[in-house]
Amino acid sequence: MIRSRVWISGVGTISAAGVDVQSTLNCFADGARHFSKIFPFETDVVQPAFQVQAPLPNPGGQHERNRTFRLAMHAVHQALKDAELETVPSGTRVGICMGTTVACQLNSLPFYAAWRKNENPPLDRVYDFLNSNLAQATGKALKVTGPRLTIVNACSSGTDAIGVAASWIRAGLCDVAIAGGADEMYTVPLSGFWSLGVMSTEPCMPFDRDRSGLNLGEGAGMVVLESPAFAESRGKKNQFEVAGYGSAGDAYHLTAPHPQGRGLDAAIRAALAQANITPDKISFVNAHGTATLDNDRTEAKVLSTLFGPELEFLSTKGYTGHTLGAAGGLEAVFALLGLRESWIPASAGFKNRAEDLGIAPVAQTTKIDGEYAMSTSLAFGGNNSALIVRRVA
Amino acid sequence: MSDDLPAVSILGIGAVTALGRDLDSISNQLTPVYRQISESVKFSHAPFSGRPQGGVDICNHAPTRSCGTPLKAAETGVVINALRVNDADLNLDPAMGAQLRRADRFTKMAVAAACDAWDMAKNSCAAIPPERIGLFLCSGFGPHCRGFKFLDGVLDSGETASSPADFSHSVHGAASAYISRLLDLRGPSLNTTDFEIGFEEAVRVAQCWLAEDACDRVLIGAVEELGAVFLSCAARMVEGTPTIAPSEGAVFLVLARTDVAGAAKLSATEPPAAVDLAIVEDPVVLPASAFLPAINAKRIVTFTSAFGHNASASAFNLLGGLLAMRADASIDTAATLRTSSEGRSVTLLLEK
Repeated sequence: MIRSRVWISGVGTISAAGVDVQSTLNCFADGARHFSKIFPFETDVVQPAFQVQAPLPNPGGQHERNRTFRLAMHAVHQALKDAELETVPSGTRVGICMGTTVACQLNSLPFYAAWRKNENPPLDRVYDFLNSNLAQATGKALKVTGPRLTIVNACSSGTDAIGVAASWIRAGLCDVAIAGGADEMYTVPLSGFWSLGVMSTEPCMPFDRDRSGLNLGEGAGMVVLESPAFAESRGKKNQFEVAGYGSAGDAYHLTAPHPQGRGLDAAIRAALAQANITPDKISFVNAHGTATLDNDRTEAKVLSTLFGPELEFLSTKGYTGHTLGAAGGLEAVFALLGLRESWIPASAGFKNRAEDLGIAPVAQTTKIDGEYAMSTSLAFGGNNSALIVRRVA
Repeated sequence: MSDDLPAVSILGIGAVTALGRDLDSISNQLTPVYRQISESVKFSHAPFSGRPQGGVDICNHAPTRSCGTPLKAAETGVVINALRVNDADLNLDPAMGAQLRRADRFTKMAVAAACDAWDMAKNSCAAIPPERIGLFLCSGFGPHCRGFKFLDGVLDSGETASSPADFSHSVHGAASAYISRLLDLRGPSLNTTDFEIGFEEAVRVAQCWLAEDACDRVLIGAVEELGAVFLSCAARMVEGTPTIAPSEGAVFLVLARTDVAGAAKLSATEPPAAVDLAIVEDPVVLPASAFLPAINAKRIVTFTSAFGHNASASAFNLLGGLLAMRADASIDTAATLRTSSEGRSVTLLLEK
């Protein structure tokens, strides 16, 4: 079995909560919720939108219209700077593993509407799509070589991308890996989630008694992983690492989680086993916490069973909305920031304890003392993932 | 490539292709291909001599401009040949079929191939707990026809009245959800998308899972579906240039960590120095930057004209290699050679 360690040397984040680590921490400290009207397109779907208001650098060329790629690259460059890897040494094998949902389909409504009318629309949207595979486009932009995969596991994509990248490092397939997730706000998931009846027209309230559904958001969260040998060769010291990752399927339903959360339970147990720790070592959990009735009920059941009712946990979707393929990447970064700063923010949107959940998230900024934190993700298709990160003393 | 990543055993194979679903039949149709080409690199753009069971559809714009209808002869414009899977090859036993009533063609192809692979491997998997069986599905385009059907709903009924079933089936993981539920697979599950060497990368991750003891078996596959939108776009993109028929289908394998007697070994690796059978893409579909790695091969063959071309072509090439090894005792090693548009090469190496 392969059991070498995986260091985390850099993080990058962009979401409605902030365009970088510091602005995100400020948002968390203030308990601010930056939702707005949906832009830059018109939509009939009404919801508080958690979008990135700041202009993004324009890469030009074929990626000019690709907002997901632009969000991803914003976070990637931050993470590489944080890792002091803005210039990757020649010969370094750099893996790219990224999760997304919007960027994996040709879902341009104007293109398709024209196609349906026999108008033979220009093919630029098709070429955009063919050139926009997130991992491939990122690797090409960075001019690096190594394994590349774009994970399309719906809402657990970002977490799974980090898990896969950690495997690459442990297996010696690359020296460095850039991993996480990115997604933009777009009309197709808006319409889809609306059709499923799981969206709220009010700001979302994860784990609250009166929760009424999710709000969509956009953003990107990335980490830089390194093999200890490579990191030490450039004089880095270990501060954080991927301690464990687990993934498990419900084998139950296309969209609904298993009522007893058996997949999530198995994923968390697998992550704990890989980290070789017991549940009491987890100082806090950054839960998936979408604020839908089913998700929060299932997640609360599993968390309370595995960690007990005193577990300190939160959902950061009250600050970012549900960013789909980006969520796992962002929430891994937020878990790392919690360990680094020794505090976690109030679980935004939570006001009233839901007695039937048997567990409640933190309602105010909370001090954290411990080595390990966990981030969980539940996805369409019944996939569940858990990531454990560690602050090295 | 790390020395720590051991080859894995292939315990089961399932496939739904334009050549059919029965492995012996597919093998018989492929045999002339790899027997004809020997000791020298020869490529032919001529059509495959054996007519695929699924027939050849002449596709361009579907007459109704709706993805819900079968592909039919083009009314106007550029004509492109496409190799479709025969609908009869998607049949499952009634109990299982009943659970697929909302599923689309993409999912049905995936389920059919996955179930066949699982069935072949079931004896060696019977004692494995569901939590120890992983699932990996890769695709370039995913269930895009269902995605366009969802867009039909958005355009026709409005954003707030679209179909939840079309939306939930349009995500890349929909087929995996069906497979995991039907076969009760509860281990790690991944869906990936790539247009070049995604299947090779998937095999590497499956090797990692098994090496790390994340699971004891991996059901891994690739699925591609033909659809009117992309076919019409492809027709416009390749107009006036030689091309290979786009195709659809699914290939699934059951992989195990353990060394199983009689099972072929698989690894994603650097191109080996020597191999009995080298499998390459037809040059017509290779990127301009691609070039074959230096390799000493007794035979070099392309299955592209037999299976057609799609974003998961490596999986179909691997299937061809496996069937060739099964049918021909002189082939002990086979390797797919594929190069990305940036010149990255990963080989899928098969060993008896």
